[in-house]
Amino acid sequence: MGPVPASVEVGGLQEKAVTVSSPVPDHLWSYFERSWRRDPAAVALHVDGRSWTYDELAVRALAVSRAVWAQGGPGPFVGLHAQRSIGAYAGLLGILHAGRAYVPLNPQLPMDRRATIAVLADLDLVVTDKAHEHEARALAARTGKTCAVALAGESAGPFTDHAAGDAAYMLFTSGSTGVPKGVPIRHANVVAYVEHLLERFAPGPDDRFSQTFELTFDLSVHDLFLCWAAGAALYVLPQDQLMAPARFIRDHGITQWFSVPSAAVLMDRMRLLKPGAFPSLRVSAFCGEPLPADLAVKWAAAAPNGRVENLYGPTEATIAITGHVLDAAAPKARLGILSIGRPFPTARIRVVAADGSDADEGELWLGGPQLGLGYWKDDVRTAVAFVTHGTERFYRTGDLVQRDGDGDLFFISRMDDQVKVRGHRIELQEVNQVLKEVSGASFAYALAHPVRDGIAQGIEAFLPMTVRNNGGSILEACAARLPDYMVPSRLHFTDDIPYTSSGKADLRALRARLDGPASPTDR
Amino acid sequence: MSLNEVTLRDRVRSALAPRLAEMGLTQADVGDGMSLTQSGVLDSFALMELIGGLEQGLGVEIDFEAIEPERLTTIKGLADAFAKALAA
Repeated sequence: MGPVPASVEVGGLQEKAVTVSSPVPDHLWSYFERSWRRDPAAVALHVDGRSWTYDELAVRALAVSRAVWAQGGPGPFVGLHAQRSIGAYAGLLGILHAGRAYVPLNPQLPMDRRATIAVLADLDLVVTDKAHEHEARALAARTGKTCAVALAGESAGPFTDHAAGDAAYMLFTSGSTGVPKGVPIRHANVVAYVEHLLERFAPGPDDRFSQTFELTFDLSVHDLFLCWAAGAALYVLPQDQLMAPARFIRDHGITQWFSVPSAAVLMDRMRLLKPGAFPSLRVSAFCGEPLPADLAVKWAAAAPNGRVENLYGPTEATIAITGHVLDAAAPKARLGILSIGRPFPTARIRVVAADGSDADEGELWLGGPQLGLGYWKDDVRTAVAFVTHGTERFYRTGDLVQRDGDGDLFFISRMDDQVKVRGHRIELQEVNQVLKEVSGASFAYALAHPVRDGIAQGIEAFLPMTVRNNGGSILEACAARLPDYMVPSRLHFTDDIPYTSSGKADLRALRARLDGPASPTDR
Repeated sequence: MSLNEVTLRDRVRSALAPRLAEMGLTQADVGDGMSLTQSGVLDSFALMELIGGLEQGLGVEIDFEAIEPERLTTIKGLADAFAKALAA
């Protein structure tokens, strides 16, 4: 088919016509469509114990697209309330085909959190899978305005040309004021990423991609669109096998693995990383948190026919933007943590010292075509994080890094209160805010603890003695508002909080208490 | 149900007790067949800690290759797995 003139009014976001026949797509649907036309009978997706061909997935996506046109309002964003089902993937593709951007609403998040996100994103339509239809209707009612619900994956639709919207998705990350912040990412951002990865990982139609990440995590976009751009098959890990996916990798002959390092940590503890255990793997990529070098070496021995890559990048700069190939014989590491490597060819970086000058140790700034526009409806935070240097726009990551003589980067630490637990970004201020609200306590100090091999295992928090008898109900109230990875695993009650000279709670001293002998006020 | 299995369930329950106390839960709140991970009592790391502690205490190792990991998320499943490990 020839160029598609897509003149669709998509409120607020700029749009343009799409040329499907162009060598580099400018819309994610085009990656899928290209593979679909090449081999419609190839397997596109394996989920819930059955396979779906490109044809089968396409017609279900098209049905969703039609429903979005029929039921959706003028807004650029459509909610995707589905998880690990045919409806989730048909829904995501259908929303994109309709020229809208998807906002994933993980049905496992507390209803409060999902409703907050739905309102912040001005959703007027939520696409759901069959299993979560009832909850989706409850969610739509909670938004307090007209919000339609469409069911994905159940019916087929006819082919129509797709519409071009500028944004592809919007993800919400933890915000330091207690309100999650939306990060809209455009098709052009993702295309810049996918084009590089098509070269870097060289996937083909015979590849079988893992899909471990929740759709609320942008690393899932790598799984879906690198896979479908290559005409390969996407293998979705069932929820209950995420903890120990060794058997899944073997049973399905997975060739392209992508997960947080935590998944490898757990498999290692289960003694599942035996030499030669995963002969099918061609590429094993890790992202989302520090990758311990010894763990990467163990994984490389378990996957002797492939290579191990450590990727790095924030949501604001689309999926990942630097990468490092492990040399198992001589891993390049700093304090046991593998290098995050060098920027992708199209990326621009700066390492900026405290005085604003370029240096070999300092804050990492990111620029180039993967850079997002900023935060949804938040000019203040956008202006702080997205800055102009010379004529170029950069995103200030808040990550402190070191660069060696070869140009390889090493993550040192965060420069603020953001931590990562199992790859999830958490603003400790947000946890503190919720803890204070639900307990009525005068203070709350959360920190990431314990940290093993550079990987935080969870959150613990200090609260005053006045609320010491309410520990159970405080945690319950947190669980009703926060994703599980943000809920403290342990509360400590004390009125003796050490402060630094600047009057802030001394988190280092608090951490030292947790690492010392157990205190009698723990519960 | 053999006596051994009853004893093993008690071992698992006593290993879980500190965590339940932290969450303000009682033993009666947690059934033998309830998923400890899906109910939010433990995350996967905490579950591995629990299993590691039980392995040390009982002097055996679970064969994670041979068992579906999701079966290790209930008190009953854990007791069964350790019964099998002890019998091996």
